[in-house]
Amino acid sequence: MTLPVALHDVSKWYGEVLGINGITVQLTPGVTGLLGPNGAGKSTLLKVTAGLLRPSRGRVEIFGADPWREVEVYRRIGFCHDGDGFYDALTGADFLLASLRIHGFSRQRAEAMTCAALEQVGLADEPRKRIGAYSKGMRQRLKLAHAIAHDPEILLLDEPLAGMDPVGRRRTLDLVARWGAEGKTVAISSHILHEIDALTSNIMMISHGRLLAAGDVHEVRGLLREHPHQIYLECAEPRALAGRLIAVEQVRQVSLDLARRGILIETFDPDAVYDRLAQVAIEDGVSIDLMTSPDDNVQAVFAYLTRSRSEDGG
Amino acid sequence: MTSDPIIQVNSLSFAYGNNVVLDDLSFQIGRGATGLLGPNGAGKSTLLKILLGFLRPARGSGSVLGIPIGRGGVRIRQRVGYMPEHDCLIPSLKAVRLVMYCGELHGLPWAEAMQRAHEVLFYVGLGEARYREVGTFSAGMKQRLKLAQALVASPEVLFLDEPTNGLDPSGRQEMLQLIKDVVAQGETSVIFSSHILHDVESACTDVVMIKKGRLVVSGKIEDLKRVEQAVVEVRWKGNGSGERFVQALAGEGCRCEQGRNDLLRVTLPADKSTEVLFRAARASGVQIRHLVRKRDSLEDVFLSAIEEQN
Amino acid sequence: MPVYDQQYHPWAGKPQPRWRRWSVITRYHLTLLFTGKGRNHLVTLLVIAGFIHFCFLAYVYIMANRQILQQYAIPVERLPSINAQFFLTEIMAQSLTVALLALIMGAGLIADDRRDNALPLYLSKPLTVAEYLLGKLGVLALPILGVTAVPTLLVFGLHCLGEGGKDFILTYWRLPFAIVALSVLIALFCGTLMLMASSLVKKGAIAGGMVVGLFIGHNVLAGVLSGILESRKYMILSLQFDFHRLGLWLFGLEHLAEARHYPFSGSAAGAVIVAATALCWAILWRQVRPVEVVK
Repeated sequence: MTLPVALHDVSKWYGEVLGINGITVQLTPGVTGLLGPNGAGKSTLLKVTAGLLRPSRGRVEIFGADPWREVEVYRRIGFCHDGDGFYDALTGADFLLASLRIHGFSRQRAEAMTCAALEQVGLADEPRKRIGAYSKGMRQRLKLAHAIAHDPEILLLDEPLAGMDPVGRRRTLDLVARWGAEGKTVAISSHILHEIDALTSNIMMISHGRLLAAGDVHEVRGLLREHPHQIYLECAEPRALAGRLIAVEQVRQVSLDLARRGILIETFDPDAVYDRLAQVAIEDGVSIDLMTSPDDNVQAVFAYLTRSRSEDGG
Repeated sequence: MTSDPIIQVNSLSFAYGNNVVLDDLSFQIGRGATGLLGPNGAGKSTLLKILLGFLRPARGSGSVLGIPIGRGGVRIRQRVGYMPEHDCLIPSLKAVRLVMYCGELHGLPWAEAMQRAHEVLFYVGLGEARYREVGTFSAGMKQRLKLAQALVASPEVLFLDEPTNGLDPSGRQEMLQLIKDVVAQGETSVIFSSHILHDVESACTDVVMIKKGRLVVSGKIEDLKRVEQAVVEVRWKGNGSGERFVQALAGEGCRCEQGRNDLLRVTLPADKSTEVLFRAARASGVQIRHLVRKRDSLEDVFLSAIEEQN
Repeated sequence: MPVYDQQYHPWAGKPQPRWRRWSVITRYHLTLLFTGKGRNHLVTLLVIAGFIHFCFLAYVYIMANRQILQQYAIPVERLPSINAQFFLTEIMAQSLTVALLALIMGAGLIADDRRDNALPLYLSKPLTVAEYLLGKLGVLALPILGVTAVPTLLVFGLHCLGEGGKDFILTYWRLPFAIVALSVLIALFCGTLMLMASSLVKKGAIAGGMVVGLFIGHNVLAGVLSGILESRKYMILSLQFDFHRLGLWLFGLEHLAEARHYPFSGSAAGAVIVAATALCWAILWRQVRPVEVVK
């Protein structure tokens, strides 16, 4: 099977400014969260992938084809850029219609697709409104409609949530999740990590133009062996449970937070500790009210990866 | 320190022509950090304009720090700091000069404005960059500088309009930490307007939500969040099969439902504790990695409140 | 040995009185102008303005010591004497420097704030729009007064101390007031006009061009109207002439042929100037709106 998106050692520089630096990565169907600090090269990466920029070095393949040379591939890509440029005098429907006509669809077909796209993003109520009169959130949704109007298999979304209000964010995230579930290959960049955390566990992190990690966030966390795993528990008798846990060989540190009736455990062998925990819970009949791994999520992995890198650099 | 509300608004109404923006809005905000929430077009900016004295309400009354709105604009702004949402900095100035200037506009004498500018810049973490031109600053630094210029005259109330806009994750964390620290000092109350509810939840204790110019909900965030004791969200890991785990749970009398992003939502029978989960997990050879009682986030509260209004 | 808390401390001082707040803006801009890029141009201009005044001062000195001239057989009697016209000429001689000062200093005053979207920075402070505009106006008005009223008054004073004496003061006691009034009107008009242009655009250079265009344009208009309608009355539309006419009136020179040359009165000219200033101010007021502070 040809992969929807494959980058081989792709670099992009603008004179002395380095956008991305030797990135090799594949995207598979489903939603991938693209994360990185400001100026990490996220937008450049998405533009190179979409064929809008020519890689300075390396190879981009969209279903095996080079998007910079083969225009046909554009039909299979939907791109939502991070800017805010529209023809303000047009209505949203006219804008989509024009872009679909450029894609080569017949007028009838294009009209139907325009309606469907506006419907999906929730802009169908006011098809005759000028884009100039749109709110920031509506403009963002129109960009999304533009990206999906021609029903592409690959969606590259650069900060689609920026400036949206909470209702718009929830709606857009639900849409993105649905596109992912339908089998589209979706890459979405965002700074709001917990939203990505709730959307997908498949992430791609870049920093200083280089790929830091790609894959399942929990697996990535598992690979960060220099940071002990944290397990946080809350139960009625934290002191008693802590006493049992301190005896477990693999536990490195236990600290109590009596105000919240909480225990924080640090370990390098989480598998063993989770086993023992379950055993203690069953044997002693301890009712554990809460169990989380505070550092096994997108936020924590992001912090670990970007911090250690910048410390190495500085 | 008194418990008087810092902001009080009574049946405030405002309209641009026939377009009613605020409609009989009443609420109170006490000391501490309060989130001001609402979807686009809810009337948040109009409310801010009225509170800062740029617009006069058509009907209704209100006060900021006991100063009546409408006529008291300048007196209110003397005791209030405002951090605008958009870029508003003068790029050709050095950071310290800009903050100093804002201090002087607030009424600080030259020397004190200068000393204070240095202190505030160190406080927001721009100490090293204080002699640099603002035009060379990154998005995160500009955001901090906007906070510094609002803080320079030690306002009693600080209005923050989307303070985490355009910041990357670490920048956002640091900005939120700063805001929390400002509140913790106890001298300054914060009104935090944002679309990122997660940020509001982490920095604020109270919220006021408005929609279409009307109050939807206000109060302590903790009180607004419902906790469903019987429902827990579970994530498991291991070589065993998920199906067997679900079956085992069903055998114990639990109801299971697949939630978003591999979370399993389990409704426990009334007489059972979470121990049954561990038992079922062990029986089906999986490990429970995550266990949380289902609890509304501020986003759930917000979305359901907005839904109810419709 | 104590350990001091290095944390954030709130400022607990007493704010400066409100009425002085506008001067912060003026002071800040003047400091920037005289440390920034355009400094050399400004200094050159001020030196030129000073030199023109110096010539007048030198004339006052020479007239006070006319025996020097007599030694060189220069016919002192035929030289113009020092009177009201002399001081009007001294002020009007600064027309070009005043115009250039306003252009160099004023073009970016509001345009730059609009470009940087810096209005919220000012208006979210305890500052009204009027104070903001006053502060910006001060940046232009003070230097303009500095090259018109101040040195002219000095020359007047020196003449009174020297050759003029008590008689001169008794004859011309109204002159200092006229000097101040005319200079203030010049400063206010040039200041508001420049600010108005600056508030309409986001680029200082364009604002400067606009003012130059307005100046040439309205003079051409006045000339064309006078030509077509064959009546010099329409010259009242030219503000340049208005200032001269107003000056003649204020300085009590109605009897001169120059004054009778204009087919309109000094007060009418003054009214046109005040109306033009008010119009500029009204446009300014519309352009700088605090409502835009929160978006």
